Amino acid sequence: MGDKVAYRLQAIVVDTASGIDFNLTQVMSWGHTPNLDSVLEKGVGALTRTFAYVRRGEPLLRIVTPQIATVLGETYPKLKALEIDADIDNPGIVFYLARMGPLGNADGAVNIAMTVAKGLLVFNQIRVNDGQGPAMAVLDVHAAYDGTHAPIVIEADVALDVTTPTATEVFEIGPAQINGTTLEGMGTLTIDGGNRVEKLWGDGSVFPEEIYHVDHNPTVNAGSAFIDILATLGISGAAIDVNDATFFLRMCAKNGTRVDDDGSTHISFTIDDGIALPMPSDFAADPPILNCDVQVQPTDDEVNDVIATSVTADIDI
Amino acid sequence: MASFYYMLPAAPGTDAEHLERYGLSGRVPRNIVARGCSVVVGANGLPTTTGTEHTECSLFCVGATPRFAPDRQIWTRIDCEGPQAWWIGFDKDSPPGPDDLLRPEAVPGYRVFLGDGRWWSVPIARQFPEGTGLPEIIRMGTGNRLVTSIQPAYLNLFNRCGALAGQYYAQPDSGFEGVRIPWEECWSLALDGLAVNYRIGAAEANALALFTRATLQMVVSALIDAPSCDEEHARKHQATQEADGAPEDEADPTSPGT
Repeated sequence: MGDKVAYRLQAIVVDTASGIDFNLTQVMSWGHTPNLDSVLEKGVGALTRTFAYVRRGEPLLRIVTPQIATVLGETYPKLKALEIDADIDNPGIVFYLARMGPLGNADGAVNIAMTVAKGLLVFNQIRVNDGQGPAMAVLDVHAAYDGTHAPIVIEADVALDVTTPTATEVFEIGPAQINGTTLEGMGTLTIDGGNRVEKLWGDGSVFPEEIYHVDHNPTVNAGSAFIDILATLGISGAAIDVNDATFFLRMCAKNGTRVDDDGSTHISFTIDDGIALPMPSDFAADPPILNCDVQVQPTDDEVNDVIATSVTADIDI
Repeated sequence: MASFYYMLPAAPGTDAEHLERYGLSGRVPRNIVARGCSVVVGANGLPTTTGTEHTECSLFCVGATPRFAPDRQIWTRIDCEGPQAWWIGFDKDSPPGPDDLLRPEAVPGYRVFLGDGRWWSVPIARQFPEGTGLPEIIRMGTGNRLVTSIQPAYLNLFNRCGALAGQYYAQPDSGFEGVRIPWEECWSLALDGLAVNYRIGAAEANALALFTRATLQMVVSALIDAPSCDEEHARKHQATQEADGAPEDEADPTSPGT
């Protein structure tokens, strides 16, 4: 029996040539899906296959992180996408796996790094359910071939970039208001980026060589015990009026409970143009407290982003 | 609540870094709402929506929902050294005023009617004949004696007003005629004085057209407590007149002079 090695998640470092730099030091999970499409060939009339090859690969890394203020506080990606590019000083985005040692992490350049030098970091979703843990942002990294490196370069024996990852951001669900009506008893909130990417292969390449952000149609789904909102919206929904639609994530207090409403560290999402629609309701006798879902579909005036965000918000509803 | 809109050309970094780069951190310190927007810079240098050459910008404001709608807003271009030009705007219907921009740590002072047609509170940086209305730190010194000193953030304003107050107090008869101060310094003092109580800088003051020669003088006058000096001077003057006049009015009819 030889020595075994084991690794665990470590920080994700965003360090792009374009100048967007931030670290995700609170990562719930990240997954790597190679999305390999293999083709198997066999001789005509043969019983078994004799040839296999990868026709295409479409690598995707999906990050789940509670660091929502970090993600939204950056000029990009906010709720859209961030171009990942690299140069000699800026690797792009690096996912670290720390080698474990008997007393925590092993010392030295013994870790694993997975680097994406070209691609898109795309906001996928923020979701939170009341009483079921902190709000999480889901981010997708679509990796492309940059002409030199594989879309994801996996290196062993590297040193960690962030040696002491800290946790500073935790958000729970907060209150919400649509057209001045407060959705009392918010239970669920999902903000979907509605982002779609298209990838360009061509020339027989295995991996995509260009990735384009082509659609950004975010939606906000809010579930609450405030059934009255159905009466307010009516069966055909209602336009967002001058009072806007606002949704909050409430910052948790370190070593405490929640930050005060006027603490200026909460997160808000504001929609000033769009439509609020009642979603399908499935009322049952049990559990007795009923909930209903409302979806806000923001509309674009082709000038302003459809959702305004704040990571220094006061909760004022 | 009305707010200024700050439109900054898009650049990498956090919203906070972006505001810091343009020196706006102190004016948009909290409850910042951000939004991307894509505008066209018109021939007059102001942002618009018609045209083909789009510039990606970040739009910030305090507490409200920032939205670029040029037909309903008034925009001013701010050229600056270093970073690219940027723009400040506000809704025509609700220009931000003293109530919107008041800092929580505002200090009392004179109320002055400025160019936007509203009353603003100007702190008394130099109180006549001595002292200040600016926040002071009080320490216990030796011998159980209190020692006060101006809070460092206000020291520059305190010192600059000191030089001006010295001139004014020395010859109150002449008022500001006798004070040698360039208009640029007068403007700068007035702005710094207002900035003690309000989240305001040169861009905001220009956008609201707060200062005229008359209002500038009123703000500076308030900063150095000129009204108290004038009042004291008038009182002394009157007392002197009365003292000078008393022998005449109440002259002994038997005196030789009569």
